[in-house]
Amino acid sequence: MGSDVKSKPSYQAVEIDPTVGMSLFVGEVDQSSAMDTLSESLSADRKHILHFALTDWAKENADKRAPSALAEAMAGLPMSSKIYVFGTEAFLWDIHQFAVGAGFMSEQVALNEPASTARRVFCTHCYTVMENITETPVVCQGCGLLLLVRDHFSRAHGAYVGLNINAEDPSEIPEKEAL
Amino acid sequence: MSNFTIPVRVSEIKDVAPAIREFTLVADNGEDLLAFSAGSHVVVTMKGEGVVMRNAYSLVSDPNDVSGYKISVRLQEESRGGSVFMHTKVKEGDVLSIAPPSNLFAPYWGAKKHILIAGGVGVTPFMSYIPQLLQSEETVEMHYMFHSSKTGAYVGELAKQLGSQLFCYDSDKGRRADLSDILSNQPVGTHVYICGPQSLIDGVLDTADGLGWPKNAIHFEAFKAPEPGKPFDIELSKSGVKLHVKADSSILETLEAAEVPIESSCRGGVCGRCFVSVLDGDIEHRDEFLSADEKASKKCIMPCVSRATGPSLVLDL
Repeated sequence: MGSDVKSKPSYQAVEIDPTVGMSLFVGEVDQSSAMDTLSESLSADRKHILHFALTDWAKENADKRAPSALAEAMAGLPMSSKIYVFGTEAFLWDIHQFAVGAGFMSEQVALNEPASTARRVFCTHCYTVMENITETPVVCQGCGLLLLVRDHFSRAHGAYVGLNINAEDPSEIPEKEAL
Repeated sequence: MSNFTIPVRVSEIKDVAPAIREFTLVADNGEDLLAFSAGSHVVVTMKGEGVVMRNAYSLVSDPNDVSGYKISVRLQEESRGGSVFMHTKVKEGDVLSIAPPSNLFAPYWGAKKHILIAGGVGVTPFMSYIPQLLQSEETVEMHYMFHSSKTGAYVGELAKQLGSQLFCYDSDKGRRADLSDILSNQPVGTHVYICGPQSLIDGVLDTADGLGWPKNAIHFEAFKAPEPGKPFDIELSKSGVKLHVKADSSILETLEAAEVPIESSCRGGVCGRCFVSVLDGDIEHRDEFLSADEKASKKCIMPCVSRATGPSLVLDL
C-alpha cells in the first residue's frame, strides 16, 4: 500500500553482506525456509540462526526485553557483524530495537519485507497496544473507542497510531478496510 | 560570524610540546564562561596587522570546569598565519575575542566502548572527551600517534587518566600503530573517533571498511583550514557590491573583511552555517556539508572553503 507518511517504513529485498565477519539470522518460526535460503551462501562458522515461535514471542515480549537466547547471541558478536530479521512487522522492529540497545547501528540490522500486512496498533487515547491488527477501523481493546489505523509509525514501539475516528458522532461507523 | 562574541583574557601560556602552545582563557569580567560539552571548539578572532584571522580550536579542558577555557595551538609555519600569530604575538594578559563554544564532534553516548585515535595535535578534542567519558564510567581506549620532536602534548596527563588504556606511538622512536590490530576483534557497540591528518582518517576508514565495520560507528574531525587557490571576483546581487577574493583568502573572509553580514561557525566546510545561494558562475566545491546533488546543482556554495573555478561568481547576498 502506498503512503505519503514519511514515518511508514519501506522495505527492500535484503541481500547478504559478504564483508562482515558474523551474520545472525533471527526469525519467527514460520520463516525458516526464507532464512535458510538467504543464509545458504555463508559457511557454518560465519552464521548463527535463531528461531522464535510466534506464541512464545508475544509472551516473552511482554516485558520488552530481548529473550535470553537473542541477548546472548548478540552480545557474543564482533563489531563486524550484521543481523537479518524475518517475520511480522512488529517482530522486525522489536528485534531492531533490541539490537540497537545492544550497541548495533541501525545499518547493521537488515529487515526483510514483513511476512504479513498485520500491524501492531498503539491507541493514542489509552495507550493500549494491540497485536496483529488486519483491518481499520478497529475497536480498542483498552478503551473501546473506534480507532482509525494510521500510517504514522513508531520504530521504537514497532507500532502504528490508532486514532478515534468518530469522536463527534459515535453512531457513525465507517466501513472496515483491510490494511 | 554570528554576532555574539565573548571577550576573554589570556591568563596563562605554556608550551605543552615543542610546537604546541596552550592558552588559558578566562572571562574578562572574571565570571564563569559558558558551559560546553565534550568535543566542543571555539573560534578565536585574531587581529593582525591589516588582517583579521579566525581559527577554530578544540577546547582541551575538563567540561566540568568553566572558570576558564584552554586551547592548544600547533605552530604551522607554512600556513595562513593564525597559528604564527597565536605563537608569536599573543602574550599573557592580552584580550582576545571568541565565539561561544559549539560542537560538531560529540561522543556517541549509546556506544558500549569508545576508541579514540589521535594524530599529533589531533589529541585536542579528546582532552575534553576523556574527563566526561571517565566520569560516566564509559569504556575508553586511546591510541595516540605523534612525533615527540614536535608534538605529543599531554602524554603524562593522559597516562594518569587512562592508565593501561593509553597506547602511544612516537614516530621519532620508530613506533607505529597497526590500525588493523586496533580495529580487529572489537566487541559490538564499539565506536571509533579520529582526529588528525586526513591520511590518518582515510587509513582508519579504509581499514574499518575492509573489516566490515558499519560506517556510522566511525566519527572523525579533520583539521581543516581553507586551502588557497586562484584569485577571482565575487558580485553580491542584492547590494551590487563587487569584491576580489585573493589567492590566500576565502570568500567568507573576503565578505567579513568588507563587513557583509554572514553567519559562520566551523569555518572548515563541515557545519553548513555559512551556506550561500549562487546565481551565476562555476564552483569548486571543497566542503563536506553539501550533498552530491546540491553540489551538482551549481546553486549553492559553502564560502568558508569553496571557491570559483572561473573568473567570477554571483552570490545571492
